[in-house]
Amino acid sequence: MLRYAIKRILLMIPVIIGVSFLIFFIMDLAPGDIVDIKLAEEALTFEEIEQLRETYGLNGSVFTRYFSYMVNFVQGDLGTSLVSGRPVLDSYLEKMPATIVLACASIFVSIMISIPLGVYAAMKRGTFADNASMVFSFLGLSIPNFWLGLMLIIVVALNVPGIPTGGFSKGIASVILPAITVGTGLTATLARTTRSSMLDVLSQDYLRTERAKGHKEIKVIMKYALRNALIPIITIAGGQFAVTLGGAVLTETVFSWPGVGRLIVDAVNSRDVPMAVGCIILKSITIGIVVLIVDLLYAVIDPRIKAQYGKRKRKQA
Amino acid sequence: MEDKKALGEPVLVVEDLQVRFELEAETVSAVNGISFTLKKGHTLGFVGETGAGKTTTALSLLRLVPHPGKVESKKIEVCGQEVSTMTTQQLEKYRGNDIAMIFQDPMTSLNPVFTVGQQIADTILLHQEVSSSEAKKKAEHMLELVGIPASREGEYPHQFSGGMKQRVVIAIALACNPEVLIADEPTTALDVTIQAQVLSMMKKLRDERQMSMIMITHDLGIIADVCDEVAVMYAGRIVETGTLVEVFNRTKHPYTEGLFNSLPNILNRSARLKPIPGLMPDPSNLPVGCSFAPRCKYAKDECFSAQPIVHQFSDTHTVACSAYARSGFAIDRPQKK
Repeated sequence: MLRYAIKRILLMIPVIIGVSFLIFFIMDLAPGDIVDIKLAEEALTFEEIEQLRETYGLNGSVFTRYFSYMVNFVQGDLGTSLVSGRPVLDSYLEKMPATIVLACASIFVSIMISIPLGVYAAMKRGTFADNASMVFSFLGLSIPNFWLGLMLIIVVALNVPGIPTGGFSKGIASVILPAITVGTGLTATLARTTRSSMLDVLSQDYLRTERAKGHKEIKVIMKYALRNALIPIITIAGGQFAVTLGGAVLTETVFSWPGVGRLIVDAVNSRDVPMAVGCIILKSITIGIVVLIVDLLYAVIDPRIKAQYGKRKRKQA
Repeated sequence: MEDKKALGEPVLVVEDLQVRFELEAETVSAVNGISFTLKKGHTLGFVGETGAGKTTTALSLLRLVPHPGKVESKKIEVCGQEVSTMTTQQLEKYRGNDIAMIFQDPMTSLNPVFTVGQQIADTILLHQEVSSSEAKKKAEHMLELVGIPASREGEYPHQFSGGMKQRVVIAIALACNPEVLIADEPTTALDVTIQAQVLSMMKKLRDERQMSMIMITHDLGIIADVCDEVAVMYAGRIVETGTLVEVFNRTKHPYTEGLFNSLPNILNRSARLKPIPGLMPDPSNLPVGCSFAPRCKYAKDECFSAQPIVHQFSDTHTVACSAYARSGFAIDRPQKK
């Protein structure tokens, strides 16, 4: 299993190279650079412009710039922001706590709503309750995040004392509304996955064995069935968690949440190439690690998959 | 279970059991009014083709008939308790403790994500006042009883062969020492050598524990090997029932005769097999008369128009066949002593 994990981490190297080149190339294709943006604010002479481009490292072809960026990257240097002059890694890590808190809280909200909903719908398959709960979970997907966020601010934050309208300074109270906003957006997919995965498991013979033993129905469902249905559920939940860890731009904007989503968008808008490329590389590493953890969790849940992880190497040899 | 019954007393009485699956387009009548009694320490065999209603009968004894099945009966009494009126709590105490079932397919009957030890200990914890370490010890003991080393307690079902899995399923069923054990084709998924091992193990455990057993099978050899009484089922009805000797040696029902004729004869290997022509009727569209009449070589007009008349040949031997109303009727199969 350790072997498997190491192999998966090594596989992330080509992914990082691909992602960084792509984002570098796209940033180059975008019209204008940081000097053009500065020009809009102050008048610069032709010499000053040339000099700025030189210091920002904007001259030369996209390939030579990419190459020198990667040389630094391999040495652990993600560069410094062209706007603030601070190291990219520092800015990213500074925003990370708020993002992690929001990601954990919103995936918690999503799981707490969608798993019971999906299990219930599967048990009541084909009934009004089934359809109603699926429609309800779909509402979460259909309502735009920013609108829900604004509504929550207007209805809840302005009326309930102690719940702030934004920011990350009031502890748990400040994370409630953003978490609900992001979390409900995730419920639809997760609830549907839970439902279909449970439907698969509910028809299995081994549940009849559990019932014949005399187990309570609720235990049969929540322990013996759900554990078997978990693989697709954690795949989706893990993917959602990974994406949320990369930042939730709209929600962060609505709630003035100091997360990495806005950091990236701001960097792109101001053509801050090292910042944008650095953040996106860090984001893809985060996602890669979360997905790997989810894959390793499979083995914890299902002993058959654990056996496979051990075998895989022999098979390919 | 408060009162332990003496050998030979009835532990299970079923009267007029009916199971219907009411679907949107049609109603499937899986079991149509069967009655039987199982005595303490005895083994009753249910034999019949696929779809005869054997498994559904067994499931209704545990009230595990799947949705949308409807179970009706005058009486389903197990160990002195009426099953059909049990509350959920009573049912949870009853299942696994008073009655247990060995399911047909060992490959799918075990939960893949729990160790076999956990799955056995589970039942014990549910019905007995023991700590989890005691339950684990008992589970290990059960494994050894069915011929699996106790050291394999921590392994998962996928690490076992089919025969081993069936032994685990048996160990689960026997874990709480049930009064009645239902074995639903316990050896169908196994190859013959393993079949013989599993059967002799089951017989040994049954005799040691004085258990009453219902053996469901389509294999007459297993019936002859294991059972005291036999009930032959066809299209959801019992067509012939009696002691092993009565049904095997003094066969009366044409369908039972057909079953015997479908067996290869080891003493006369050049003899042709005589399979029963045709198929079992569609359970959603049963004929008015005898269900077997369309396939029966003795059938006369009255067989098609009315339900068969029940004939009693001895205290234990009962046959549902109208042909015995005709004087001098006998089937071709020779009657032995």
